[in-house]
Amino acid sequence: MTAPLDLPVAEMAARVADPRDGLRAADLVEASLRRIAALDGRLHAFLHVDAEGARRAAAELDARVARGEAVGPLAGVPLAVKDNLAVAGLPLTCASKALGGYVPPRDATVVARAKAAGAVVVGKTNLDEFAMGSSTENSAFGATRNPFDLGRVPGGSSGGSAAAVAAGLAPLALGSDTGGSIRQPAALCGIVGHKPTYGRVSRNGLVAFASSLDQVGPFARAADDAAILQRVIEGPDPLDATTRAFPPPAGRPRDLAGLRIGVVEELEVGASGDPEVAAAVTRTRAALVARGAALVPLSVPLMTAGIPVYYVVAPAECSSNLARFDGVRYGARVDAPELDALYARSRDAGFGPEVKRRIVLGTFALSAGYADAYYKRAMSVRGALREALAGAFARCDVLLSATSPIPAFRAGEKAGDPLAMYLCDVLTVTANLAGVPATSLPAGRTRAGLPVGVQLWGPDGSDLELLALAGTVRAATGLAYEAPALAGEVA
Amino acid sequence: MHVTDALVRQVAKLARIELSDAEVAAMVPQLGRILAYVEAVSSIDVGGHDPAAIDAVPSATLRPDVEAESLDRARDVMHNAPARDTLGVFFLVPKVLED
Repeated sequence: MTAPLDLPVAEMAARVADPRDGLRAADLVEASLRRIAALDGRLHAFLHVDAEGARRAAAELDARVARGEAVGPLAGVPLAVKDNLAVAGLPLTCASKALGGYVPPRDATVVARAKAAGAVVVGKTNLDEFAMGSSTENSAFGATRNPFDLGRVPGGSSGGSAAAVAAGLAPLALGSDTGGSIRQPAALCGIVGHKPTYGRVSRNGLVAFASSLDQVGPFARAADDAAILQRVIEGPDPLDATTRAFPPPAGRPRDLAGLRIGVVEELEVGASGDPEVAAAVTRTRAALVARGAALVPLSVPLMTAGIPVYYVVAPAECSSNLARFDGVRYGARVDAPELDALYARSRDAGFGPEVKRRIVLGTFALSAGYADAYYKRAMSVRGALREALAGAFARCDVLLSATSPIPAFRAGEKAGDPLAMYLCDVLTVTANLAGVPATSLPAGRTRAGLPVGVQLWGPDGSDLELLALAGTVRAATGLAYEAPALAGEVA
Repeated sequence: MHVTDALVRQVAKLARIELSDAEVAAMVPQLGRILAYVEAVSSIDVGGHDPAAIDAVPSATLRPDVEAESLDRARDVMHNAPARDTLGVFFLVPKVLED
């Protein structure tokens, strides 16, 4: 029998909302806390578990149900929140020493909306410091491990959220994606992760990394579950001026018959990638073609500029955004006799090596004499890339590529080589640069049992269509989330 | 771009980060490799795009300019301050003005 915590989210929430059903929010929260207690010592997906707050919220929700009140589409569903998003009253660390003991006074908009829909926050998940990394090893509080192989990384930067959902600790999680930080860990952990269209989801309460790229999005075991969370968190927010309204999906979900799937030459897994990943992409496409989809070969040469452009634009914006961490209003402080030295010493002590590297790189790219050659040039390429991708979507409905060219790599394997780590994002960054949505979904496992993910890309605003299509693809391929062996250790 | 100790120190100074000698030594070759890679941006043909004309981020939506409650300084803000005055309303920093 399926444990209640492993039910589809819609069913879980409907049962909690039904006063005649015996399932309570408290049962789901206790199950989540029990799994966390049993498994998280090995995974280290969580930086902070709020057992007391979760129990209180669940009891309140159950009381509302008992009084006959209507509750939302996430009633009683345990939610893990990446620790760069504010949850009122819980420590917010960004996996950095720089935040000190910072406790935000308010919820991030996405957290407030999830809570209003009935979700129960069980804790804050680990990440690469300030979301900078692809392995969740750049955390000041220790690395997260992959639930399918504890010797390997879960991907990053939202590796804690991905590992928590993959191990069944929580059915839903929130992450943020600046260059692939939702999709790549979703792929490496065998779950679904969605990077929304830029402007679709509020970043109010998200600690900013690169503001023209950052988006908050959902993790879940299935696309239907992710879509429920996506619908809850999205929509205009007066507290994030980049948010806008998008029209609801027109008509019925896309059928595979006649669907034009773009195959972009520059997004193919090349010689430096893993042949088993390439084979998984080919198998997925073949399953869709067998049901009437058509492959459209495309070339978007500017896609190869993705990593160079990203690693100018993102560090430039990070150097500006992270200027706020100065040891004065909040966060860690190293005292000094002069203000400038106080800033400089506090920042040296607070930030880890990758964060300092990106701040220095970004400051350089924006500095007098170099800004034209680096930042302005990169933004110009970015604009051309957006146009080229829009051109590609004029010839197809979606793109289908791998999410990551390689499955989960061994812990420590890339830790000493920043550039090798950056190249993990080679298939994901262009969606952020162009602002378009993309969904990573499971596409089977390697012979060694490691999950492989594929990525559906759509034009601006097609988020809900992509998530619906991800469900259709799952039905066509038969490839869905499978729990890791470790999850079987606890009910 | 040739990355030197002096360049890293100068940029770190602009970024207000006091790097140790060991950190500078480690960063010089790393930044050299990263910059050599990202320099590709300067040789890509973008078909005459003017950076100033690019809508890299869709234009912001302005909200109505109405008065709203702000954070309560004493209750919500100052408890996060690393150093505050005895009244608990001011952030403390080293003296920046002469007597």
